[in-house]
Amino acid sequence: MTSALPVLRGTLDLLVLRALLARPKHGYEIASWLDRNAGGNLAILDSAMYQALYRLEKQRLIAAEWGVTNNNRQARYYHVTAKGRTHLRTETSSWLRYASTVSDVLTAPLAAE
Amino acid sequence: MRHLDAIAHGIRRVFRLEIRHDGDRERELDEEIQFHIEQRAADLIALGLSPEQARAEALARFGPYDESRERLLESARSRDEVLTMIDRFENFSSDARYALRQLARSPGLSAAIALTFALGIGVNAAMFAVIDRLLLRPPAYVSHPETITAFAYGPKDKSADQHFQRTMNYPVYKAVRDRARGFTDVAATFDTPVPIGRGEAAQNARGLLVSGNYFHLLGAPARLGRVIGPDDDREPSGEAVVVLSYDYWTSHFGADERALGRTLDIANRRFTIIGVMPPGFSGLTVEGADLWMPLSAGAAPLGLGGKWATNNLGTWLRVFARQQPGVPVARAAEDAMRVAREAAPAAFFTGPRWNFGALPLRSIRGESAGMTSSVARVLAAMSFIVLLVACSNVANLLLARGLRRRSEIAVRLALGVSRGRLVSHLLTESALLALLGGVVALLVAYWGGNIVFTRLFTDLSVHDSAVNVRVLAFTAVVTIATGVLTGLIPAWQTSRLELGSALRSGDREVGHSSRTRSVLLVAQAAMAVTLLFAAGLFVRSLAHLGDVRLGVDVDRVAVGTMDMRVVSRTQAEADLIFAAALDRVTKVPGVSHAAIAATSPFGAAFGANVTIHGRDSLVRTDAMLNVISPDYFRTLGARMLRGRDFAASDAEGAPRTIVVNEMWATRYYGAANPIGQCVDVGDSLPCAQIVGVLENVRRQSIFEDSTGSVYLPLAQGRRFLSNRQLLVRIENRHPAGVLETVRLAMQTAAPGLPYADVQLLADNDTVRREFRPYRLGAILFGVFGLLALSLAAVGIYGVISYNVGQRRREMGVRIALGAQRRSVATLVVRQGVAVTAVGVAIGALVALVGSRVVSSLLYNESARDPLVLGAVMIVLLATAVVACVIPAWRAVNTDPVTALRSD
Repeated sequence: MTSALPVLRGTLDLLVLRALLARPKHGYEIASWLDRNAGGNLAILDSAMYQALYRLEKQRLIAAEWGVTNNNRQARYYHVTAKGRTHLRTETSSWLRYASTVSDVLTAPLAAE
Repeated sequence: MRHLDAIAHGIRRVFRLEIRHDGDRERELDEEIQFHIEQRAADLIALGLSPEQARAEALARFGPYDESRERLLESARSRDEVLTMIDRFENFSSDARYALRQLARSPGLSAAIALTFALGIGVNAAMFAVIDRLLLRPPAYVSHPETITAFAYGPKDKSADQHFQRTMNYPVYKAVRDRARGFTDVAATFDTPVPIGRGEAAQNARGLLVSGNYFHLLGAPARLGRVIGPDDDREPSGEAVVVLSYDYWTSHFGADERALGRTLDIANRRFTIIGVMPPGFSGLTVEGADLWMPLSAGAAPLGLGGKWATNNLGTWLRVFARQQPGVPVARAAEDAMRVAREAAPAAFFTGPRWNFGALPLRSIRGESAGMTSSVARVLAAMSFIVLLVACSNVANLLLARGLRRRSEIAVRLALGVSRGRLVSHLLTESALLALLGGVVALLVAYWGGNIVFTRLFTDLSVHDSAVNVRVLAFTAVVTIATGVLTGLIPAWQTSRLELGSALRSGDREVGHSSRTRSVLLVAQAAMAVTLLFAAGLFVRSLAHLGDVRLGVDVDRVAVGTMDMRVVSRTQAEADLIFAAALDRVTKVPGVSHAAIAATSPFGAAFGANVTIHGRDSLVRTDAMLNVISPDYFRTLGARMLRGRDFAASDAEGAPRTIVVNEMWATRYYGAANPIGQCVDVGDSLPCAQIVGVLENVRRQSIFEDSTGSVYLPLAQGRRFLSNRQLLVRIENRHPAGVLETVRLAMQTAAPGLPYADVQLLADNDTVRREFRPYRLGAILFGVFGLLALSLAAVGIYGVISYNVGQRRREMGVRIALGAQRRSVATLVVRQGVAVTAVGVAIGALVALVGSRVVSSLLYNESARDPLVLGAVMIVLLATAVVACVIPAWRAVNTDPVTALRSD
């Protein structure tokens, strides 16, 4: 396994939004979801993820309220707002275009030159 | 303390201020982090780590704990701040949208409320604008006016602000300017009408002669060209230069910059225009001037004589000074007095009984020291009552509307809208209405303020708008306060709504709010009584003042003046010119009588020594002297009490005759008949026989105790005649309309005459100023009172007709049971009148107690005049009856069937 990749700030926000798209989650659930889906390839400090959560809340892309977990513990649950969904959609498509463009450029055949 | 906290918390909740404390936030954060770390540790334990290892790993994955926590806390704080702000704004804008929808739903009521606000706030804003102009506004273009003082002096036992004497003469001024310590600049001014040009093109302007350092003292720059400097003002005769006011420049030179260097023929000298002052500049007084000239250049030509600089007897200069920093005013004034005593030991005002005072500028500006400003202050205070009446009226209307919306509000409450939000909804509505009213109020202030000034203060130079930043700020504050206060009662009442009963009873009223509305009605009636009472007192004062027998009909008599000194004609020539003018003026349609005289009522005063013969010893008396042509008394409208008027037979060379006034006759002859007695006027004259006794004619003030006066026929008293005036009596409906014809007739009596000025005595500055406080009080209190009365009428109408609507079923039942229509109507009217009567009684008490405030401002009128109070009470009760007529009519015509069938 190669060492974990650092994550850019704007990217982390996108990932967190994506984590919440299906259903509201509390902080640890988001962290677990990210671990699971990144296959452990992304190095994200938990505190950095919370920074991202608060940042997104401030921009009103997500909102939070206190709820109760399955084993009856108090936890702060986050959900994506309508504004957040729109934001995620546009940012995702532009990220994908960016990534494919960069990868196209990086993998362009040398013979063509 | 706990109560206070609870209240503070309640207020914060109502206004949705941020309740979350830093402690709460920190606790939440810690809880969240703790939960996270525990969860991760638990998962790691499930994977086989020991609890210690799991915890260490979880902490490591979290990041450096203390530092991260600190940064997270910071983020959370900034997040909360932004969210609260957005939240508040969204609540507000949703409230505003909701309120707008509500207001649009009943546009008539909304307009009525906004208009009521507009009148209430507008009256206050207009009064503030008046007060602002009279008392608060600092002189324009004058630097640091607070360090400029005006000289005055008066008897030692009076305090400085009671010093009435404001003028001194040139030698004293010069001494004070050069030698008194404690002032940096000491400047002198003399205001005088200035005749410009000759013949038909002649004009009069308001001039101000100023010492060379005047503009330096003020720190005022010219808009164009330059101001007068010390080099222009040199004794005995300074530079013939003149500075124009902006208005004069605009109206006479079309605001042409080439006016600089052109000349004006003032008196018998040619003055060059050197500058134009900026618009709104009026020097240190509110009255302002059209042009400014160096003292030394204008004094001699404008009739002050060649010895103006050394003449030590009269007083004519107003003196202003800028204080030296750090020197107490009182000490500086004392030193000025010392200098004045040295300079003019013989002058009456340097005697030991007299004292100098240096008054703050604001005390001499405009009317500030006078009665008009006292009346204006009372009016401003009273305008607040108008606002209160308007507020209680609006509160009543809002209450009524709140009641009609009870079901809607109950539903909203049931749906979980918090009472705080509800209150803020209702407050937003009243605030919006007040805002609307406030905007209209500015128009009211603008027009109202201007009307007051153009009608009552024509002598003040008013350049700037009635509405300035201060008026704007005042209106804004009043508007906001009004909106919130007015909305508070209805909002509070509505928010106390009991859900169950409101949903059940629908829109029918229960309990306390009807009581609140009656209390508001009572208050309105009481305030209306107070205002109307004040209005009545001032109207009566004005009437008393109008009834005072002045000995002259100021509304019919005009005085024509022409400054003959400036054309340097001989006495004989002047006589011929005035005789021609008299002849022409008499022929003007509408003129019934005309006369020539040395002076006229409220004009300059000439004194004379009158010696009485035929007594045991010679008695020398003082009297005011006038020299007059035969028709003078008929022109004034003054009555002869005894003897005869002068006639053509009292010619030069004929036996000398004299007319004395009642005051003089009783003072020296008591009850005896003075006719036929012989007196000397002046020294060394053959005696003149008293041929008539005239009623007392006011000389200098409509309030004066009459002075002793004697009159000589023109033909025999020429040697006392230094100045001539034309007096004209106009007998038609509109005397002011004839003035210009009279003026032209006088102006063209001979070619090349200086400007002929013709003015009704009623427009004389003295007369107008003396009438003004009463006029101001009568007019504005009248407006306030009528406003309050109509608001009260609307209020009574609203409440009673609402009550009738509420009691429709009851009325239906009564009528169905055979009640007389008459008794139903009485029932309704009685209700309205009863509430009003309580208000009237309270108002009468308040008025009787409160009228002490205005008692010193009234003329010959008791501040507890029962006649006025009785009339006001009757008017109010009658208004209540009238206001009840429509609701009563509606009650009488209730159809029992429909009333009983409906809910």
